[in-house]
This record gives sequence, structure tokens and C-alpha cells, in this order.
Amino acid sequence: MLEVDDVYKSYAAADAPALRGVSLRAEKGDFLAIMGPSGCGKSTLLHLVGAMDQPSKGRVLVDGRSVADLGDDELARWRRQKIGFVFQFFNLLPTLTVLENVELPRLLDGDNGGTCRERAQAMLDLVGMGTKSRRFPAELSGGEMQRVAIARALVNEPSLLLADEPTGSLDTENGESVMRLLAGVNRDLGVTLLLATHSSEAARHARRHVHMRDGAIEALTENPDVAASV
Amino acid sequence: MPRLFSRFILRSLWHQKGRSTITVLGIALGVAVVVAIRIGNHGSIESFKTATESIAGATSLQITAGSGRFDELLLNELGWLDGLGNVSPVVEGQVLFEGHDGETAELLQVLGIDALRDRPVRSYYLLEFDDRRREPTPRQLLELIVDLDAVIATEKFARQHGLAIGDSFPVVVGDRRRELTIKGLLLDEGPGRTLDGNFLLMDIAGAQELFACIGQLDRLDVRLHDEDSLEEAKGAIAERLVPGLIVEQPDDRFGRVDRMIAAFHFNLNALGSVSLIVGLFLIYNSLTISVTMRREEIGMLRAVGASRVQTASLFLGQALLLTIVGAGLGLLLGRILGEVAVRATTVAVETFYIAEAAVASTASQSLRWSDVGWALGLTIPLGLVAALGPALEASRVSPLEAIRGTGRLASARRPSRWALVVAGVAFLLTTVLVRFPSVDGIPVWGYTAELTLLLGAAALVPLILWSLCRLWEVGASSLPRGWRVPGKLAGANLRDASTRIGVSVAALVVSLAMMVAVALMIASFRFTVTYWLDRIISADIMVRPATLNSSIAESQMSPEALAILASDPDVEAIDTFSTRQARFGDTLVTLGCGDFQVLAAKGRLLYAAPARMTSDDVRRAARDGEVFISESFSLRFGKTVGDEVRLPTPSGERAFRIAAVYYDYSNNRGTVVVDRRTFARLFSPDGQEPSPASAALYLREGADPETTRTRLLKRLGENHRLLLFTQASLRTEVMRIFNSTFAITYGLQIIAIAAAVMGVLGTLYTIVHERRREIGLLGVMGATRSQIRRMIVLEATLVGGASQLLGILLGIAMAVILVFVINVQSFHWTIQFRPPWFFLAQSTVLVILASVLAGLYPAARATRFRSAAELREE
Repeated sequence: MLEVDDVYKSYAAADAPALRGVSLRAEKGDFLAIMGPSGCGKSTLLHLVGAMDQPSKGRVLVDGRSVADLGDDELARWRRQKIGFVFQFFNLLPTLTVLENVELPRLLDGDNGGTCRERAQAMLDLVGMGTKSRRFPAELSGGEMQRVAIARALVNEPSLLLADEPTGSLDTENGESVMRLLAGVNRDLGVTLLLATHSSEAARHARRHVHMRDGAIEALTENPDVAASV
Repeated sequence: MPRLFSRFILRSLWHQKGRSTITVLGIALGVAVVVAIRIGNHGSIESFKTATESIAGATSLQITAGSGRFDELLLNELGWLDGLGNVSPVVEGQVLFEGHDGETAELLQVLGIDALRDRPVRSYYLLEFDDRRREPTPRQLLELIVDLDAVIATEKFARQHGLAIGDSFPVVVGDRRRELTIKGLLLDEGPGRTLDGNFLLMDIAGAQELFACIGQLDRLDVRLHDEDSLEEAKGAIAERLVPGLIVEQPDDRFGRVDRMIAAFHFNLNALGSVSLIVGLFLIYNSLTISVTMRREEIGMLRAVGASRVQTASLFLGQALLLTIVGAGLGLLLGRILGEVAVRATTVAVETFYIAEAAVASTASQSLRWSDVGWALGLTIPLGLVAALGPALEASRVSPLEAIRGTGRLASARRPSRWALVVAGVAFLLTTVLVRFPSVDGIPVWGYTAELTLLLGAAALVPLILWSLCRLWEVGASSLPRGWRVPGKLAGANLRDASTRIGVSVAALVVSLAMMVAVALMIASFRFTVTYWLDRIISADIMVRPATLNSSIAESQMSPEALAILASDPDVEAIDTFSTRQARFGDTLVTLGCGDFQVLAAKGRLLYAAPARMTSDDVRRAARDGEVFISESFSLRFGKTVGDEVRLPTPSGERAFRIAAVYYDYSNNRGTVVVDRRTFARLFSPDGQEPSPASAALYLREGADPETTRTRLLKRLGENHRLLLFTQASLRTEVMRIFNSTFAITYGLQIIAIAAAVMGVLGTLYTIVHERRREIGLLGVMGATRSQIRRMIVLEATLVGGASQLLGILLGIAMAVILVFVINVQSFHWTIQFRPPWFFLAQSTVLVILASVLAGLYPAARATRFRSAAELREE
């Protein structure tokens, strides 16, 4: 489903490459937690997989297709249809209601009909925010905002969900609640989930742990707790 | 997409109501000014056009003398015209109607016709004439107007002034008062529509008596039997006409006036476009602020799958919406301002071009579909062009950059040196373009040169701003202690942002430069006119009829009034001057007639060529039948001393040698002056010297002009309506006309200044918002609120000061082109270049003060960014 093949990423302003020969595979329904200290390259890897950036060298294949071959419009469509993003700071539009925020990816995809609203409402119900669909982001708590962001990421039924430090701005309780929700999404909807985090609490829910340091994968381990439960 | 647009753009516009309103108002104001000027231009010429068309009726061709009237005995030699069509002789003129309140003064167009011959050419529909038939027979019409004081007025005019059939009312003709009696009322049709109802119909004999032109005609109106052979008939008539007469279509007359006024209208349109540029600048500014402030949101939109095209379309849509709403509002506002524009330009138009402009009909001030199409057709594409930059910037926002917040850092760089090349090419083009002549009297290349100059200067703005900031940083260490650090930081901040804010500052520079250029041109013109007046006014009292409201209208002083003036014991000499319109090529010039002997003895003219003109030279010119031409004539037609001008006379076209070129700022259509004796010999149908339109009185030594003026006015009494100006009051009158002429440009200046202030505010607001994290960091590092406020206010002052400095430099360069190229090509006047130093100093203080004030709001905003939350995202 996802194949990262010997990927390098360098930035002009940086002394050392952000990624050095990273290779990784994930199958459909997989749940990987990319772990490591700040600056180890985990977010960079996530951005490359999410087609938000291009590798300096190597290939990233999603469903057998290299994102490097796609033009800007195709990339945008790719992000819209194949990938869902969850960010540390939620990145909700403050002027839109909860429901409208979730509808956004579908509107971008040209869905202006009733299914757009139904689908968005269904996603909000799924993340437990169905009753607050008319509220604005400023009226929600951090944990609630992250649930809305997850609903938005899922509304186009992506095959790959990328979460970049989704619990980084939340307290322990809310963080745990969001992680349980993400794990449930992975388990129940079969969405492949890549989680970048330096929190071992958050990583506890992943099936496999990818340990990174200085832009390279140091180790890839199975999470026995989750593996056993599956 | 519509729903996305509604949520992402409309909602944001609603949340930023203040900014959206300012942008819409800015565009509306720009469109309104341009539309108002169009309405004004249209209105000023439309009343003349309507008058020409209404009076022309079914006329196919008109036969006139090239200048002035012609002898009616010539009709005997034109009997052959009857074979081609119906011929109607006409005498036309204008009288002044003075209302009972003593304050109302309206111009009335008088048409004198031969009722028995005019019927096939024009139809007259009368009110209360016959129960079944409104149109009288020629005989019935003749019976109505057979008395010399009988007129048929329009029903509209009579209603407005409470007049009825049988009533008499006073009018002023030249300086004489006359009573006319209403014998019938015309409906609002045909000739009755002339000048919005300010029209009187008379018998031709009555009109000849009224205008003191017995035995003379203004023209013959011909209605051809076969309308289809118009060109053929015109050619045939032209071949057989006696010398001194010409044949033309009624439209030709309007065309000549239209061509003459085209440059004036073009310049007004060009100045009006300044306000449109201001509106476009506001669109650019508003969108730049939107994109800057919503960078993270745009990044998120891109992250969830918005393509570049979708992103750019959203912001172009925003510009489109603002432009359409602004243009719509502008059209409505323009309709209202149109009335103001008509009033503001009427003085200039009636003084220099057409007297009929004084009666601009209300109908001509209405909004036409062409105005709507023009406003939208011009504003929408320009609005989209203005929005293109910010929209493309939005489309280039990388989802990654926006989420990380690194996009702004990447754009902080030293301005490109390519700007020097761009500016060099633009300036080179400017120097080439200013050498090109006008196109049909319109300074197209002059304005193109202004545009290339603006573009070149705008390209240099970021580089100059960068260099000025470097200089400021060096100098900041000598600022007072509390200002040193904020000063240094302000310089560094602006230097880093010089590329980013370059366009906004350039737009500000352009606004200020235009203001400076226009002010400079007006000041130079004012200086020149004042200097010219001081040099040429030698007479002690200047006299003209009250009806003469225009430098080109034809009005006469009566012999009785002249006799009263001449008999005054203090009056030593009188120099009379008369003018009439003359056809010259395909346009009109003024043919003046003065007394060269008095000019040689007493008068003073400011000569452009030859360098020295003695009294003997003037007398010799009079003896040899030579002419003087005004500088505007010289520049307009490329004639100078020694050349010949060919003028229409009753005996055909004749050549006259030019003896001198003199400066004249009283009209710009071009004047040819001949001595009164030459005029009587060659131009007068009856060999008489013309009745003067004005007179200059030279008093005996020791006589007090004011005392003489009072005495003369008393002697002239109510019977002769003359205006008498002493030198001082003439100067005041000239300056009144001058100020009225340029009133509209002052209005445009105010708009430019308002835009400049809004520009500074918007630009600073953007800079501050972009740097909110850096400002927050300064706070965390220990900078006080007051230091941050000072830093932002200093940035505002630097932007305003630098813009004003560049604006003055650019404005001076633009004024040079305005004064020495555009003005000469449009108005054919040379102007002495005089910078208004006091105004420049005053405007500098104002702009800097406005910049400081504009900086206070962003400064207050900046101090709110000092929360840890602003840094958290880093």
C-alpha cells in the first residue's frame, strides 16, 4: 500500500540532510508510529508521504503510484482523495462551523450536493462531535477541535491517514481520547495510519514502531501489546 | 466552488467588514470620479450637440461664410440652389434673459427665420394654437412673429418663468436691454428642445434688427429634394458657390467643436484615471493583506487538497466581487458626482470652447449604458490584473510552509538588481516618447511617457527603499537614547521587507507623485498667467458686455455705449477689440480685430517672436495688412513669423503674413488678430468696422480708475449692461476663472491623498501582521510595549517619509512632462516651470503626520502579539 524506497531529503539552508536513505513499507490497515527526538526527520517523512513535499532522491509509492510523477493539480487531487491529514494545531478555519470545516475537502472535490452534508455529519457522529456541528472552532476545547480535524481528514474516505503529533497540543486525558479514536478508525475503517510522535503514550496504540534518529531509521519494531490484541 | 467561495471568501470579507468597506469605497470613488468626468464631458458637449441637431431640423446642408455673417444680397446669385432643394435663410444669436429676481441670468438661443421659406426645413408645434392642429401654416406663423419684438418662446421656458402669451420680458443683447413679447409657445419638440427649452423663434427681420446685422445672414439651411444624393449635391454646390461661402453638413459644425474640445476631455479623463489607479491599488492592498493574514488557512486548504488553480480562483473571485460591488456603487455615486463635474468643468468649457455649455441639460447628465459598460469593462479587467499578484502568491503557498510558518522568512531578501535594468529601459523609453508629436491634438505619447516613467520608478522603489533603510540604520545610532533601538530595528525590519512591501510602497509613491505633479503644473500655470497679466495689462479700465461670458462668444457693444465711454473727460484713448469664430482647415479659430495704432502707442503685448517688436513694427504690420497670431495658434498649426495664414473672407480665402507671435492665455483655440482697418476692408460684408466686443480705456495721467469706473457706470445706467474692470478687479476675475477651471483637479488631489493615507495604513498593517511572531519574540526578550510601539510608528514614518521623498522626485519629473509636453500638445501654451515649495513642504509634513497617525493602529495591534501563544507555533 505504502512504499518508501531509499528516500533522501535535503534543504538548501540546512547543513545535513533531513532524511538519509529511508525505506519503509506499510500494508493496507497498518498502523505505524514514527518516533524519535525533535529534528530526527519524522515530520519530514510524513510530509513526503502526504505529497506535501518532494524527495531529493528515492521514491514514495502509494497504492503503487509515485507521487513524484504527479503534477500540481494531480497532487492536489491525490491529497484530497487518498490522504487525510491531522495536524498538531488542528488547523481548522475559524470562520467556518464544525460541519463546514468537515465539508471542506468534499467541496474542493466538487461535491456540492446533499451527500456532502450527510457524509460530513456521519464523520462527526463517528468522532463523537455530531451534536456540536453548528459550533465554531473557537467554542470547542482542544480535544474537540482535534476530533473535528480527524473527521475532516476522514470525510473523503482516504486510504492513508497521516497524523503529525496529534496529541502535542492536548493534555493527557484528551490526548489519550484522541489516540483511542485514531486507533478505532484504523481498526474499524481499515485506514492505513502513520503517526509521527515523540510521545510513547501515543505510540502505544500503534502496531509497529519506526525509531528514527538524524534522518535515518534506527529500528523497526513490532508493538507486542497491539499485535497480541489483533 | 460557489459554496467554497461563500465560506472561504464571503465569510472572511464579512469578518473584515472595515477593510472590505474601505476597498469597496475606494473602488467606488475611483469609478465614480471617472464616470462623473465622462458624464461631465458628455454633458458639456451634449447641450451644444442637441442645440445643433434640434435647430438643424431637416436641414441637409448649410451654407455659411467661413467667418462671421454674409450679405443677404448674395441670395440673388444663389437662385440656382432652389433647383436642388428648399433654401431657408437664417440669423442666429444669443441673448441673456434676466429674471425678475435680478439674479437669474440665462442664455437664450435665438433663431430668426423667414417663415414663408422655412416650413420645409423645420416643423414647429405650438401650444394652444388650434384645437385640432398644433402645426401652424407658414402664413399663420408669419402673422405671429411679424412684429420686430415678437417671439415664440418654448412652453417650458414660459412655465419656468411664469410667462404667458402676450407677456413681455427683458433680455440683454450685447450691452443693450430690449423687451420681447411672447406671441406663441413651442412644445418640447424639434427646435423647442434647443438648450433645454432656452430658445426663441423670431422673424428674420426682427433677429437682424435685434443683433444689429440688418442686411446680413448667418447661413442658409438647405433641405435637398433628393436626400440620397447628399455628397453629390454638396460637391456640386461647393463648385458653384460664390467666393467666401462654404457648404457643409450640420454635423460638421458639431464635429469641429468636438475635435477642439477633445484634448481638454482627454486630459480630464487622464486625471480621472488617477482615482481609478487608486482604487486598483486598494484592491491589490486588500488582497495582499488577505493573503498575508490567511497564509496558514490557505496552507491548510492546500493541505486538504485545494489545487493552485482553485486557490488562485478563490482570491481572483474575491477581487471580482469587490470590483463589481465597488463599480456598481461607483456608477450610482458617479451619477451624483456627474452634476458636480458638469458644474466644475462648465466654467472652463464655456470660457474656452462653447458658450452653450452653460446650459447643460439635466438629461445629458444621466447615466448611459455606455457609461455602465465602460465602467465595468475597464474596472473588472484592471481589478483582476491588480489581484493577479496576490492571487498567484496565494496559489504558491505551500501547505508545508504555511503549517511550519516559514514562508515569510523565505521572501525576506535583498531586492533584485534587475530592477535597475527594467528602470533603465523604461526611462530610456520615456525620453524617446516625449519627442513624439500628438495624435490629432491628443497627447497620447506624452501620457504613455508618463506611464513608462511611473513603471520605471516603481521598479526602483524596493531597491531605493532598501538603500534608504541602510542609511537610516547607520544614522539611527545618533537618535535620542529611547529611540535608538526601536529606530535601528525599524530600519532593519523595513529593509528586510523592502521587496515584500515594494509594490504597496510603489503604489503610494505613484499616488503622491501624481499629486505633486498636478500641484506643480497648476502652480506653474498660475505663475505664468499672473506674470502674463502683469506684463500685458496696460489699460486702466477694461470693458465688456455683460452677455459676454466666454472668450469665444460673439457679443457686441453698442455705438451709444462706446460714445459714453469716449466722452468721459478722463478717458484719453480707447482700444476696442472684437472677435468672431473663423473656420481654419477642419477646425475653428478666433479671428480678432484690434486697433494696431492704439496698440503701437499705448498697448503692451508679450511677444514670443520676434524677440523685439517696436511701435514702428506694429504700425508697419497694420499698414501692410499683416496679422498677429497667438502662441497657441502658432503651436497648434506650426506657424511663425514670416509664414502665411489663409483665412476665409467674404471675397474668398486670402493669405496674410504673420508679423508677430504673442503670448495669450485667454483662449487656447488659437487667435489671429488683424488691424481694424484691414478687417473693415477685407472681412466685413458691408465694409464697416466691426462693433467691438470689448474695449480697453486709457485714462489721462492722474485720473483715478476707480472714480472713473464709478462715474462711467452711473452714466451707462440701466440701459447699457457693461462690466467695467479695473486692473485689480480684472486680476481677481481671471484668478476666479483659473480656480474654477482647476477646481476638479484639486478634488482629485484630495482623493489621491486619502488613498495615500489608506495605503500607509494597509501596508503597515500587513507588515506588522506578517511579523507578529518576531514582535512577540521581542516582547519575550524584554522589549517594552513603548519600545515596540515606537518601532512600528517609526516604520510608518519611514514608509511615509521615503514615499513622499520619492513621490516628490517622481512628481517633479512627471510635472516636467506635463508642463513641457502634454500641456503644449493639448493646450498649445508654454508655461514657466515653478515648483510650489510651500505646498511641497506642507504636503510633506501632512504625509508624515498621516503616516505617524496611520502607524498608531498597527502599533497598538503589535503590542498585543506579545503573548506566548504567538511564539508557540514556532
